Amino acid sequence: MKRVVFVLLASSALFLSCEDEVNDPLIPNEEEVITTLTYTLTGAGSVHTFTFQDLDGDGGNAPMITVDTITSAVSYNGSLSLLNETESPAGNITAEIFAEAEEHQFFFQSSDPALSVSYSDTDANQQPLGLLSELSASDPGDYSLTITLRHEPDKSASGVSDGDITNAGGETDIEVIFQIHVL
Amino acid sequence: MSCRRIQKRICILCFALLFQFGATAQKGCQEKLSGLITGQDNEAVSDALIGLNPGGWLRISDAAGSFEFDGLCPGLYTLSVIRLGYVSFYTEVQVQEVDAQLSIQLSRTNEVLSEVPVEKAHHRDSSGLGVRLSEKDLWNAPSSSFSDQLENVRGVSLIRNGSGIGKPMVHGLTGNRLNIMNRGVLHSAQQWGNDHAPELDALSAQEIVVIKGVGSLSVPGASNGASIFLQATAIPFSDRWKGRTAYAFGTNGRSHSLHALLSKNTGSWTWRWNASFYREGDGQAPGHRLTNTGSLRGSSSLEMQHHFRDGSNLELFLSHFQAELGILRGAHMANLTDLQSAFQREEPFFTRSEFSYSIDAPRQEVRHELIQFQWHRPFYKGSLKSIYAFQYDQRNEFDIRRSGRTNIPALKLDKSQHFFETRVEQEIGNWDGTLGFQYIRTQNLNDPITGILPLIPDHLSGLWGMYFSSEHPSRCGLIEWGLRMEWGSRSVATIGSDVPRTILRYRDDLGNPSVQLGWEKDINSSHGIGVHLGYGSRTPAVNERYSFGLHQGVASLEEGDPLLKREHSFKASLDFHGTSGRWTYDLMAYAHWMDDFIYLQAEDSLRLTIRGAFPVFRYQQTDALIIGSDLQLGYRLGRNWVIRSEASLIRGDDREQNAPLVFMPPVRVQMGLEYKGTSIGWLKAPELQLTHRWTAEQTHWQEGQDLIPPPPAYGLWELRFSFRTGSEADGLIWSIRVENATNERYRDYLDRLRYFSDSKGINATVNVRYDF
Repeated sequence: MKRVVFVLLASSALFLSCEDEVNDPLIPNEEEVITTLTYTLTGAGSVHTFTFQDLDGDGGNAPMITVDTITSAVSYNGSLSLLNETESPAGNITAEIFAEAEEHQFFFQSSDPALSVSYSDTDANQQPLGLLSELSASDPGDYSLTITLRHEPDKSASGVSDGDITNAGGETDIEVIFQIHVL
Repeated sequence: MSCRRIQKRICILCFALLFQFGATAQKGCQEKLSGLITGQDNEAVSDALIGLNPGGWLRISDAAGSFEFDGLCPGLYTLSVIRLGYVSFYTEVQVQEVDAQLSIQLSRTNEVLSEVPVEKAHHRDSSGLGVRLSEKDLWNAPSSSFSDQLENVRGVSLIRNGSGIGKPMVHGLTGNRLNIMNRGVLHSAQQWGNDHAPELDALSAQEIVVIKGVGSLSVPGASNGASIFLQATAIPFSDRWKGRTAYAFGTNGRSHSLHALLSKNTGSWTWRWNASFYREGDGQAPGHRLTNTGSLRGSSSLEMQHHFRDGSNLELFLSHFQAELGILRGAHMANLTDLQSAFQREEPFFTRSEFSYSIDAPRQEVRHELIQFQWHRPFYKGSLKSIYAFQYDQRNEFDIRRSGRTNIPALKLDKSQHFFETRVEQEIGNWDGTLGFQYIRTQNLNDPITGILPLIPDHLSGLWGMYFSSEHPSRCGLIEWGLRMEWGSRSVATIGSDVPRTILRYRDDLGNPSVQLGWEKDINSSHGIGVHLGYGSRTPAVNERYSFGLHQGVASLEEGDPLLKREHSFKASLDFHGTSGRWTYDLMAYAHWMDDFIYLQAEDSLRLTIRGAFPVFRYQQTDALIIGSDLQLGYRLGRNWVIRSEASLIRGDDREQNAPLVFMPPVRVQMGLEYKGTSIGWLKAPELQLTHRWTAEQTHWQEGQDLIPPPPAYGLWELRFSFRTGSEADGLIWSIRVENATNERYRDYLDRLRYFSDSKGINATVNVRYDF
């Protein structure tokens, strides 16, 4: 009996003395992450960019948001570009969205009807996608524009093809808000 | 009783068959061999079968445990003693001209008594401390998952993620604070997640014991919480294969299940094999279909034991469990906006009206393997037992992802565990002591295939445990006490959130003590009282210290805190039980003080990400108090009827902030009427049970603690009817069970799917069983 206890204690000391370290984890390749959204408006001979960039993902530092000033009564052509900048070279998420156009739709919600956005592109089923859009503001002022990307929305639900997000469902892949100053 | 008599006869018959070949007439010899058979506690063992070879002699011990052979010739004989519930005993005997008197001590095989120190004093079927589900209870609802089997135990609630995924919660504690012991081995899985159902098949055990008061010291983790034991019982002696098979069909979800059990005990070898298969499609709530809530489960286990002649035995146990579990499609939320729009819907998003068996993302795939060796050797007034077990647990969780990534798991964890234990039990005078040593080595690794930063980090731990517990029966009752010490460390490697990603290392000290003290007293033959006290501390679990990431189900970010301190817990319980005329009662009250209680607290501000704003939940510590009571009252109406009422009351408070603890089970009251009748024509042994279970609204909460207010109270009716057709030895056992019989529309506070949808509606299950 005594011997059993002794052997157990001795072997426990042995185990305790070699403190095992867990191996270094392999860092996953986060190719699905979207770090950067750029909304480029082109019109009246000028180019304006709005950028939302969050390089370190959900935690860490706060995202960097860049905005610009546009002019009223000008019709701008808008285009969206999505990047994964955790990779080098940066992953092109725009192409991924475009390849799965039927399963995605962008929504543009303005704080005021004076600023409006309409779709300029469609998927294979002639339903809107939103990578390309048209933006115009009828009056000067400060507006906020929410750009949402939904994965697997119900594009045939009421109002969805007109850009109304209410009945869309699906999961939000992107939801960013830009403050737009209109001269 | 009659059943036991039949078993005895079968035993004699089998034994007679075994010996008949060796039976030869012994004439002219006059020697005698007599003996006395006793158990571990020196109790007389009657009805034991004693065989003597060569010659094929057979005797049965009498009430005093004694037996006698006469007319033997001198020579060397082999004596075997077989008795249900005891380890078979073999020895060689030299019969000489002087009459021999043997004294044989048998050790019990009934592991329940030796495995569970706290339980030891409770020979009652349901004490306030240990509630037991017997093999009969488990086979009454063979298609139920492990957690569903436990739901009817008072004091146990289920944390759910829809109908298919549930994990038990005992006295308000679950996850890291509730340990499950499977045949003496700590069940190793991803205990931390609320949506991680235990990877166990209830039918691989013969009984399940829930220790509610103060956990057993043989359980690693020193959490002082409750524990659940899956136990094996002795296999009845039988020379041929005995078995059981059952099939069940459930209307809600159109579930099919098939179960089989085979066993054999030849005296020196025992075998037991079981297998279960279960398939279920989309469930149905009273108003709508629960799209993608199907599940698929398969499991099998094999037990082999060899009993040596010296009374020791070696056991091998293998088990495999596999499941694929669907999660309601409308419960997959990407951000707070999605969540808020889901709250406003009557019917969840993505609800399809058509039924389907298919399981799509979000879904879980889990696999669990166990291989276990046990060696048990009895010696004078004691025994020695050694266990080694290896477990491998794999968990894959699939989310809805872009570009074909839905088939790549979003979370993939592989956990492996080695478990060693050596335990000595020894009776010293009036004392009964147990001394055990354990070593547990656990490794939990993420697979980078996910393409997502892991929610919990990789870790490797080595834990040493030593415990001593003792029981001392005296005139003023039974006194139990014990202590446990743990030491060891855990190495953790996290991937930091900075870019470029870096690896951060931590080392946690796992040293923790726990102490227990108990007193049990039978006031008289029909009333008893018990008091139990326990203290223990717990090192914060890996998820509590290091988790970091998004929880899709509730669209929130979860963050651990590496600076969390140990949690200290002190629990006291008091129970009264007994019978008085037609009444039986069992009343238990408990109080559980926890200092530095770890819980998830929502932060005031939202975190902005490219997917929108998310609430952030961070693990924090406070001082908590949980008080509660489990009550049972039974009344016998005549010969066949029993009324049984049960109630579980619980209240959790944050003593520091004077606020309620969140996610504590609401009050539950159950009333049941049971009928056990005599046969009516072809309807043999009919049993009827009508139960109404009322669950109150959780009113003890504060605005801001949860995303939406707790759901209102609800009551569910359940009807169960079972009977047998054909003879007892060769008949079919039928059972019909109707859950939520009135098709009540309800949501349960502890079901996470309550944010999105109603719970399951009416479900009728027909189950037919054949024992052979």
